[in-house]
Amino acid sequence: MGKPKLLIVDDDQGIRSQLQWGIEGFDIATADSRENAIKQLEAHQPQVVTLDLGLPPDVDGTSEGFAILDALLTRQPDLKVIVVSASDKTVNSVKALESGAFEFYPKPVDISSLQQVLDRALAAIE
Amino acid sequence: MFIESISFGISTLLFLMLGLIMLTGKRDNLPKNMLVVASLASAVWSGTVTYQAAFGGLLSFTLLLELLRSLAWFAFLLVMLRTAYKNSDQVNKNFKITFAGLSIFIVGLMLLALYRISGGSLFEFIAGNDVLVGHLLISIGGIVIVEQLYRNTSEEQRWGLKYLWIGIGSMFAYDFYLYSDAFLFQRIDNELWNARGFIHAMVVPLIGVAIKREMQWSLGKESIDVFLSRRMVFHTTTLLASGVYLIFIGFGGYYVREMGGGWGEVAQATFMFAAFLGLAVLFFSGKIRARIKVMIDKHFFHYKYDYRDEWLRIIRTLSQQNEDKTLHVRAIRALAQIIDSPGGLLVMERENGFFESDERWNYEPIKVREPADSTLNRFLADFRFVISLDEYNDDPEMYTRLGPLVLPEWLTSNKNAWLVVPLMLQDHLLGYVVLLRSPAHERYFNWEDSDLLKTAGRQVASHLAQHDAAQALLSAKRFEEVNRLSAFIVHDIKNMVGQLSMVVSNAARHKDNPRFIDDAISTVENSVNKMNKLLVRLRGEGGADKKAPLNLCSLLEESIRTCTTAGTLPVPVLSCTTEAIMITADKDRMSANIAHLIQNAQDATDDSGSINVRLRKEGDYAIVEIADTGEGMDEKFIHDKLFQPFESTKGTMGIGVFQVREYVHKLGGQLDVESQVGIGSIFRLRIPLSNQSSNTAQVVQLHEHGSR
Repeated sequence: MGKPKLLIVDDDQGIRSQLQWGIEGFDIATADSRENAIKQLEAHQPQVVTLDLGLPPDVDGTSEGFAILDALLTRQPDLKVIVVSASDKTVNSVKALESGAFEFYPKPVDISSLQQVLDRALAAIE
Repeated sequence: MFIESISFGISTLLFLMLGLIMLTGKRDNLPKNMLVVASLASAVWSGTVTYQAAFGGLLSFTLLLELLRSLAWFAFLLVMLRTAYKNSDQVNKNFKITFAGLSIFIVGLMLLALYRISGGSLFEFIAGNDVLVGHLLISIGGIVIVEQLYRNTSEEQRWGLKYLWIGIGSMFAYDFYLYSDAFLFQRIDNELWNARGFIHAMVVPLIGVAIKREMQWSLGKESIDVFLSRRMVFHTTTLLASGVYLIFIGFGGYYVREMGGGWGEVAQATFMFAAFLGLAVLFFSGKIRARIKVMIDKHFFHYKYDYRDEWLRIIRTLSQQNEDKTLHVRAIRALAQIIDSPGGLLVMERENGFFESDERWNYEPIKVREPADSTLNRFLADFRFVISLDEYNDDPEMYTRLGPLVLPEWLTSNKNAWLVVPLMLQDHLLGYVVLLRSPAHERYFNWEDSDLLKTAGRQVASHLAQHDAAQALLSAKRFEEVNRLSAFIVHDIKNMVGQLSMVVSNAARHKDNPRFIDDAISTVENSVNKMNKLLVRLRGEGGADKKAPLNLCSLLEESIRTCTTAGTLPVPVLSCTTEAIMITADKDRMSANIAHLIQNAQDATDDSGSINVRLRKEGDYAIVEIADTGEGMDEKFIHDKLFQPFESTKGTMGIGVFQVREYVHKLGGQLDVESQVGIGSIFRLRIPLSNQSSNTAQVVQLHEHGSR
C-alpha cells in the first residue's frame, strides 16, 4: 500500500510549494480554486485535505472556502479536511468544525505542528 | 381757486365715468356694487368741492360729503375683506360689528363737524382739532385695511387686484399726509389740498385696470383659502402704532408752536427728524416689538402662538448648518426664540453620571456640575415640567407638592435666569436649557408657553441625540478603520511569516536539492512582492494631503512600474492622449490608489491575460480606465462587497477599492466599475482636471511595458 494522499488547496503559490517540500509521509497534490480542488479530489482520491478559506473570487472573505469545504465533503463525506486560515475569528473556526472539518488550523503555518495535525487526521482514518 | 376747480373737476369726471361704466356693466356681486357706490360718492364729493371752488358756499355740505365718501370706501374695503372669510359666522359677525362701529364713528364725526361749523365750541378738546383728528384716523384706518387686503390676496389673485390696492391705498396715504400736515400746522395747506383732486383722479385708471383684470372679484373663491397670519397682524399693528405716533408728532408740533412762539423752519426740521428717528427706533427695537407682540397675543388671539410658524422656525434654527454656531448653541437659540429670551445655558448629562454645563448663548460663564439624583434633575425627569423661577420664588409649593424640589444655588443666584426647560428623549432626561428672562414677557408665562417649550424641548432633545449618535458613529468608524488597517497588516504578515518560516524549516532538509532552492527563491520573491504591495497600501492610508498639480500620464507610468518591479504579471499597457492631462492631488496617495487598482487587476487576471491602462480627457475631467481580462465580478459582488470597507480581509480587493473611491470622491471625482464574470473588469476613474491642464501638444506617451 502506497503513501496516504493529501490535497493542498491554497491560492498562494509560495505556500503550496513550501507545504509540498515540508510535509512528510504524504503523496501530495495541490489546487488553487474550487474547480481544481474538485478535479484533484476525483483524480487523486486524497484522504486528507488542507483548505485555505480565502480563495478567489472571495479572497476578502470566507465564502468560497466554505463552499469548497461543502463541495468536498458532499463528494467524500469521510474526507479529513483541515481548514487553514489567517482569520483568527472564533466564528470561522466554529463554523468550519460545524461544517464537518476535521480541524481548524490558524496561520501562520508551522510545518511541524501542521504535520502533527495531519498525522492525527490520518490516525483517525485508520 | 382755478387750480382747485380744475383738479377736483377732473377727479369728478373720472370717478363719474368709472361709476357709470360699472353701473351699466355686469354687476354680479356685492363688492362691485359697493365700488360703484364709492366711486359715485367720490364723484359727488369732488363735484361739490369743484362747485365750491368756483362759486363759493356749500362748505358744510362739502365736509359732510367727504365723510360720507370715506364711509363708502370703507364699506367697499370691508366687503372685500369679508369675502376672504365668508365661511366663518364668527368673522361675519365681527365684520358687522366693525362696520357698525365705523359708521357710528363717521356719523358722529359728521355731526361734530356740523356742530363746529355752526360755531359750537362746547367740549372742545385737542384744541379745536377734533375733526382733523377724525380725518387723520380715517386715513390711517383706510391704509390699515388696504394692507390687510393686500396681504390676504392670494398669489394667484394679486396680479388682478394689486392695482386696486395700490390705487385706494395711495388715496388714503395722500389723505394721511394732507391731514397730518394740517394737524401739525393747524391749517390745511392750500397746495396740498389743490393737488388732492389730481391725486384722486390718478387713482381711477388703476382701479380701471384692476376691474379689467379681475372681473370676478372675490378674495376667497371656494378653492382659495385665505387665512389671517399672526405675523401679518403684527405688521398691521405696527402700522397702526406708527399712525398713532404721527398724531403725537402733531401734538408735539402744536405745543412747540404754542410754547416756543414762532415755528421756525429749523425747529420744524429738527423736530421732524427727531420724530422720524424715534419712529425708526420703534420699528427696530426688539423690546418694543416684543411688547406689542405680547399685547396682541394676549388680547387678540385665542392661542398665543402660530404653531406652524413656531415649528418651522425651530426646525430652521436647528438645521442651519452654515452658521458657525454649534448645534448645541442653536438648540438653545431655538428654544429661546419661542419666548423672546435673550440667552440661555445648555446643561447635558455626561457619562460620569453628572449633569454639566455644555454650551451657553449670551449666558454668563458658569461651570455647572449637578448630580444626576439632585432634586432638580429628578423633578425634571419625573414630571417633565418647565420650571418658572418666578413661580417657584412666589409659591414654591406649586412645584413641591408634586415632588421634592430645591433649586441649586447656581440657578437661584442668577437673577436673570427665568425658565428651566427639560430636554426629554422618550423617558430619559438628556439635559435641560436654562433660559434668561425675556424683556417683554417678564412675568407673563402661562400653560401655553409651558406646553410649547416642553414639546420643543423634546424636538431639540431628539436632534441633539441624533447628532451625538452620528458623532459616536463617526468615532467608531475611525476606530474601525484603524482596526481594518491593522487586521490586513497582521493578515499579510502572517502569510509572509508562514511562507518564510516554512522555507527556513524546509531548507534544513532540502538545502542540497536544486529544485528546492528554485522553489525557495520563488517563495521569497512572492513574499517580497507581497511586502511591496503592503508598503504601497500603507503609504495610501492616512497622512496629510499634499495637493499639487500632477501630470496624470507620468503618474500612471510610475504606478505601473511599482506594480511590476517584482516581476508580477501581466504587465499593464499604458496609453495616454497627446496633450498633458493635469489633475490636482496628493502624488503619493494618488499613485498608491492607482497601484491598488492595478494590483487588483493583476490578482484577478491570469499571467497570460492582459491589463490596459488608458488615459483621456472628457470635458473638465480626466478619465483613467484600468481594464483587465481577468475573472470579473458579478453584480451582487460589486453591489454587496466590492466597496465594503469594514471587511477584515486578506488585504487585497475590498480595502483598496473602498479607499480609492473615497479618495476620488474627495477630489470631486467618481469611480465606476463595469465587470462581467469570465470576461474581465474595467475600473473607470473620473477626476476633475486642474486649472493648469495645458492644451499644448506633448510628445505622445505610449508605453508598452509588455505584451503578455
